[in-house]
Amino acid sequence: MNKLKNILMLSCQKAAQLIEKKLETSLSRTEKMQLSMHTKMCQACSNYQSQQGLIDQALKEDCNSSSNEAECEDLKTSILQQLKSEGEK
Amino acid sequence: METETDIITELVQTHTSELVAYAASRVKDRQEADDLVQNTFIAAFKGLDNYKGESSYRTWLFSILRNKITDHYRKFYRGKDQEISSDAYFDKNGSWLPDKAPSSLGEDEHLLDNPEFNATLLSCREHLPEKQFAVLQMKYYDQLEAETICKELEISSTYYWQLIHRAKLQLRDCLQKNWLNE
Repeated sequence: MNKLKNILMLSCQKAAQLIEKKLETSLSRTEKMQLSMHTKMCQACSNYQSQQGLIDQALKEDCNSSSNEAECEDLKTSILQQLKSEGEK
Repeated sequence: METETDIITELVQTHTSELVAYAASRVKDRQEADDLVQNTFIAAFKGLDNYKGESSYRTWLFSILRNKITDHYRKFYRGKDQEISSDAYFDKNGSWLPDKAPSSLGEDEHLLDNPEFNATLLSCREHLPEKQFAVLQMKYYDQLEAETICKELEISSTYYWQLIHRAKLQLRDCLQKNWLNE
């Protein structure tokens, strides 16, 4: 009975870790059951699960960070000067 | 005939902006990103004799830059204590602390199409500690496998997962505070 209780009583902290694991790899059957029972009873973790799915998706989609062209011109000039002094060494 | 200086000048003109964009995706500090790109060109200039032409100049420059970034991070992770707790989010029984418990973000299927939501998420990402930012970017931006990231940064896989988990706890918390209260 104690064993069953241990399986059923998942803390939120542990549930959050399982949610992470679920997004990354996959869960064992026991873990799946533990997590699904927990999120049915716990609104906070249920929110956490759907929001982490969303964040995961948003981060995957955002793959282009742009850089400012004007700033790059200054950097190019500075690099070329630096290279010139390297070349003279 | 093209001199080495001509070649490198041409490379600087052509590739600086994409190299900087890449460096800035990995390193939070913009000055640091610029320095890494500058050091990449200096290394390229010195190593031009050894360039075998087996890959394009662009590929070659990116591989030098990646090595520079990895060196930068290895220094950064080395020697720092490799323990991260999520105590800031949970009490001693592992329950959410009252002000950290996830409430609804009003999420629906269109939330990801909302530019303001995405802007808030990116701004939250900027606020992550550098170590968490780096692994998150390697995972999502470079789409590297966990194993590869651990190898490159010379960190344990346990530590890696702690960093990712902690980063995502913080991102979500930041969204809750900044998205709903706008």
